[in-house]
Amino acid sequence: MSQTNTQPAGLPLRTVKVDYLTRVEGEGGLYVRAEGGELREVKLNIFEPPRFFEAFLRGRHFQEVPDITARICGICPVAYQMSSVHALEAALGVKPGPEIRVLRRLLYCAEWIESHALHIYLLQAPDFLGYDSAIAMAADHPREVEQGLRLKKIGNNLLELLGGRATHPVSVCVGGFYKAPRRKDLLKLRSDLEWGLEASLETVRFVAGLKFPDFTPDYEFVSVTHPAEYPMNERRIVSSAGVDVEPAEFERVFVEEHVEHSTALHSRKGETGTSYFVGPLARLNLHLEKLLPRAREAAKTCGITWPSRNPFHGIVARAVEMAHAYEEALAIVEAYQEPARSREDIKVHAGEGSAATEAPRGTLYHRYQIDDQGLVEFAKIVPPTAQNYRRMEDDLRLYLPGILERPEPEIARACEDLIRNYDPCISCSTHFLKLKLDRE
Amino acid sequence: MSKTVTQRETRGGTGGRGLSMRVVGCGNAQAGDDGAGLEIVRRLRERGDCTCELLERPQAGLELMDALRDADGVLFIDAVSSGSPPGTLHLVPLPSATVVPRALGAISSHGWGLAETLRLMAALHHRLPRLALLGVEIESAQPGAPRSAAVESAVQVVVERFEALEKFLTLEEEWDWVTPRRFAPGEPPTGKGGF
Repeated sequence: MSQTNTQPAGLPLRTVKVDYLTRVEGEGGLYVRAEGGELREVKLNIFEPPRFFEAFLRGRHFQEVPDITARICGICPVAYQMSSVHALEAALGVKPGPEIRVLRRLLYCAEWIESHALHIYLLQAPDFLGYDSAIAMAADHPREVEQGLRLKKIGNNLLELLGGRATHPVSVCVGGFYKAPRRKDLLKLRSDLEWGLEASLETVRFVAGLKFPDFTPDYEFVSVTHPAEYPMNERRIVSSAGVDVEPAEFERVFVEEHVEHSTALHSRKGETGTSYFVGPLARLNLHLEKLLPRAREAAKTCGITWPSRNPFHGIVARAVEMAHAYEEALAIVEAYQEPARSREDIKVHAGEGSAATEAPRGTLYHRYQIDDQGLVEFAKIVPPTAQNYRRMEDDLRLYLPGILERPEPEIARACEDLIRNYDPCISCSTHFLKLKLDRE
Repeated sequence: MSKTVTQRETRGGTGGRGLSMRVVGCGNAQAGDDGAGLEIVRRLRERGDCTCELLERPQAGLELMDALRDADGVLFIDAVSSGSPPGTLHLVPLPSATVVPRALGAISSHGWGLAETLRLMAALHHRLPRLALLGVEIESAQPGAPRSAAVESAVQVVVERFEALEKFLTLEEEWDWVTPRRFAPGEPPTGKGGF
C-alpha cells in the first residue's frame, strides 16, 4: 500500500510496504525513508522472536549441545552441530582422527547440497526468471524444478544416512559420531551422486546465463580457511582485507551489537565499524583454487569473472559449491573405509574453546566455557545471517537511490531480490520482509 | 514382526482392482494425545498384516511431496481439536476447512505446507493422490502426559478395524473420499458410511 502526502516544501511523501519478505526462512521487515528524492534511512527490522539458545545451553552437559543447537535451524542443523563440536573439542583438547574428519566433511557436503539446491531452484531462480513463486515457475520450467527437487533429495538422503535422520541429525557427538555408516550403504548412493555432479554442473551453466543487475559494492569477504581444502570445518578465519586469525580471536575482530530495530544482533568489524560479507560468494572469491577439479573448471568457464563483487552472482557461487559438494561426496564415498572407532575418548575437564565452520549461508562461530563436570557455563553463537544484516542494509543504501523513482511494488520487489542474494536464515539469526518506505 | 509393504504388494493385496494406498501417521509422541496418529501406525506396523505402505512423521517443506508421490490415495492419521468429544473419529477429505489436522496442518518450512505441495505437484503434472484425514479428537496435548482413555479407546478401534477401513478406502468410488464422516466415541464406525 502506498501513501502520498506533502510537506510545506511540496516534496512528496511516499510509503512502500512489503508485508513479508517471501522465499526466505523466518520473518523480517524493511523500513526505508526518503526525503526530497534522497534516501535518508534504511532499517532491516527483524521481528522474529529472540530464541535465547545461548542462555538455555548453560548448565547442559557438553554432549547435549550438538543436539540442542541443531534445533536452531531445520535447514542447516549440521552447521550448528559442526561449529559446536569443534568449539567443544577445542575446549576439551580432543582431536578427532582423519576418518572422523572426512565423515564430517561428507555430512557438510550433504547439507550444502540440500540447502543450495533449495535456494537456487525454489527460492531465488523465480526472481531471475520473473516469477512470483516457485510454483508459478514450475508450470513453465518443470524440468528445472524437477532437477532441483532431485538434487535436494539426494542431499537429504545422504544426510539421513550419515546423520541418522533427515531433519536434526542424531549421530553427531563431541569426539565424532555415535555410529559410522557402513561402506555398502554409502556405495548405494554412488549413482545418485554421479548424477548429482553432472546435474550440478548443468546448474552452473543455467544460472550463469541468467541476467544479473549491474551492482558491485566494495565488500570485505570473510570465511574460514584451510591450507589445501575448500573451507568447511577448519580453521582460521580470513578476509579479503587481510584478516587472518585463529577462532579464539574472532570476537576481537568481529563485534556483535544490539540495534534498536532488530531482535537479531548485528555484526561489524571491530576496528573499522564497517560491515562484511559471509557466504558462498565470499568463500568462492577467497578460495576458488581450492575447489575440486570439475567444480573449479565450471567456475572458471561459466562466464563470470572471479572474484566477483556482484551479490547477484551468489546464485552462481551456490551452484559451483553444489557441484563441489557432489564431487567431494563422490570421492569420499568411493574411498570410504569404515573406521575402527566412530569417536574419540574424552577426558572431561574445565575449558574454553571456540570454532568457526562454514554453514551453507556463511561463517558460523561458536564459543563455549565448560566446568570440570562438563557442564556449559557460557555459550556464544554468531550465525552467518546475523553477520550479514549490516551488509544487507549497506547494500540497500547503495541500491535504493537508483530505483526510488520506480513504482512502490517494483521497489519492494527489488529490495526483496537484493536481500534474497544472502539466502537469509532469519530464524537462526534471532535469537521475510515487511518493507515500509516513507518518502518526505 | 513389523512389516511395511510396497505399492506393488498393495495392489495385489486389494485383489488387483483397488487403489494403492499410503497411510501416514503424524503427531508428537511426547505430547499426550497428540501422538495418536503415530501410535496407530506403530501398532499397524507391529501387527504386520497391513497391505498399505506405512509412513510416520512426514518431513516438513518440500519433502512432504515424498508422502504424496506415487500413491493413488494417502490417508493421514493425525490428532485434531475441533470441539468434538475426545475420542471422536473424523474421516474427511483433505484439505478440510472444518477439521484441521494438528501436526500436518503445522508442517511448514519456508512457508511451505500441504497446500503448496499439492500446487507444486499439479504444476509439475504429477498425479495427485486422493487425500483423506482420519482425525482423532484429542483431550489434551500436554507435553509428557499419557494418552487419555478416550483417545486410547479410539486408537484401539482404528487398529482393530483397520482392515475394513483399508478395504473401504481402496474402493474406487469417488464418494468414499469426498464425504466427510464423524463417529462418536464408543460408536463402532460401521454401517452406512462407516468402515
